[in-house]
Amino acid sequence: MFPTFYAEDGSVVTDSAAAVPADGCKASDFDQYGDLEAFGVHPDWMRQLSKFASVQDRLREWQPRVMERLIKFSCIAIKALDFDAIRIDKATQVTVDGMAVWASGVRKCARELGKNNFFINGEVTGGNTLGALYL
Amino acid sequence: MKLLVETRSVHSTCESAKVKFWESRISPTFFSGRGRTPDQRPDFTTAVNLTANDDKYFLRKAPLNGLDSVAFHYSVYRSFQRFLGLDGNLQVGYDIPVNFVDAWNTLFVQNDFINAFTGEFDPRHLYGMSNFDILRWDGLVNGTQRSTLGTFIGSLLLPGAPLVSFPPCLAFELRTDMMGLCSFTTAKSKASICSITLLLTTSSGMSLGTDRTCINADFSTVVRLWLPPKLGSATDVTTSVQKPFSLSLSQKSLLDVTMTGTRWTTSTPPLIFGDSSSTSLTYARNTEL
Repeated sequence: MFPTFYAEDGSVVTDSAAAVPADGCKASDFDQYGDLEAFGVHPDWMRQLSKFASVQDRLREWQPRVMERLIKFSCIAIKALDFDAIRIDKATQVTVDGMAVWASGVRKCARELGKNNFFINGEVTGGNTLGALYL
Repeated sequence: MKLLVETRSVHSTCESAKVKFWESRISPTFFSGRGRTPDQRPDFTTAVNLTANDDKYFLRKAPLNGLDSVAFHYSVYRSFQRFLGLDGNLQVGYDIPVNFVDAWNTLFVQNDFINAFTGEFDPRHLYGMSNFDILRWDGLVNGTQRSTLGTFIGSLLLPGAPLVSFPPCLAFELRTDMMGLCSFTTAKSKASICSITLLLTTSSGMSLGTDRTCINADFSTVVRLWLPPKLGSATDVTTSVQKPFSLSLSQKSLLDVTMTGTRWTTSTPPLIFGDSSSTSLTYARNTEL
């Protein structure tokens, strides 16, 4: 089952299942939807399902068991290395809800460590309308 | 247009991370960073008085806060490119206007700028002219001046968090007398090794002039004291430390890449040749760029 995808005009993508046949549910933590050209050809939401430029596997971060680990690992890193901010490269390759869940979990972790000004910014190369969904 | 679908699929139980699943697992914070769709935009007057309790202007319920801000704001940078005379396809769809005043007014109503911890209005987009993976303006005609003008707009006109990399920062300070804006200035006062004179020569022995620098005590920053000579059409350059001092190779590389790399119109550091026992390092221009 897919998460909610958004188009560059900020609207919800309603035909994602038709454009990307899910072929049932899959057990892997990784996206297994193949590969796409990375720059400017395909919509951002579709690129959230594929590798970036034939490298960098995507994770199915909309699955709770995957997201639990992403948050846990981030929290471990904050505790081990004591950093105060995280910059997310290619932030719009993460789904909108996935980013919100992850960032909220990281802030919770940071706050519990006494970091009440933890800063999370992300690279948004697309238009502001899409970026505004993440902010 | 369809993605390639893996033929070998593994069927198992379906899981879906419904937002509600997470709402019970993440403790509430201030209601902010919650996204905004086009039909959730307030008008300007409303935006001025917006609080986190105005749910209808946000995509997500608290406490699902997303990003605090955009790192290296590409939308504004695209405007910088246009404003400072670059040509080409510099626009993407559904973006902010090129005019900086209209751009800010648009960001103001379209973005959620409320701080996730304090609940205060706190715009922190990082506007900048310099970033690791963009071209270095110093390499263009009047590039330093263009870069400085863009930095001026990104730092003093647009509300946000200025993003300034080292060399443009120094140039900005020198031209605007804004000493103290750059964090490097603080480092200058702490510099334990100063007045390092570098001699720049090509492999054919031609002198390209001298440069001076300071290095912070912990080598966290390198402070350049004045703008260096142009490298021109040189295809390689050797920087020699006039008065030898003890540096590791990595420290020397940091120093030299900062000194030479920024003057060359490459977006990647020049190739490095040298060893830790030498007081000089040689770079070759990256011919692919």
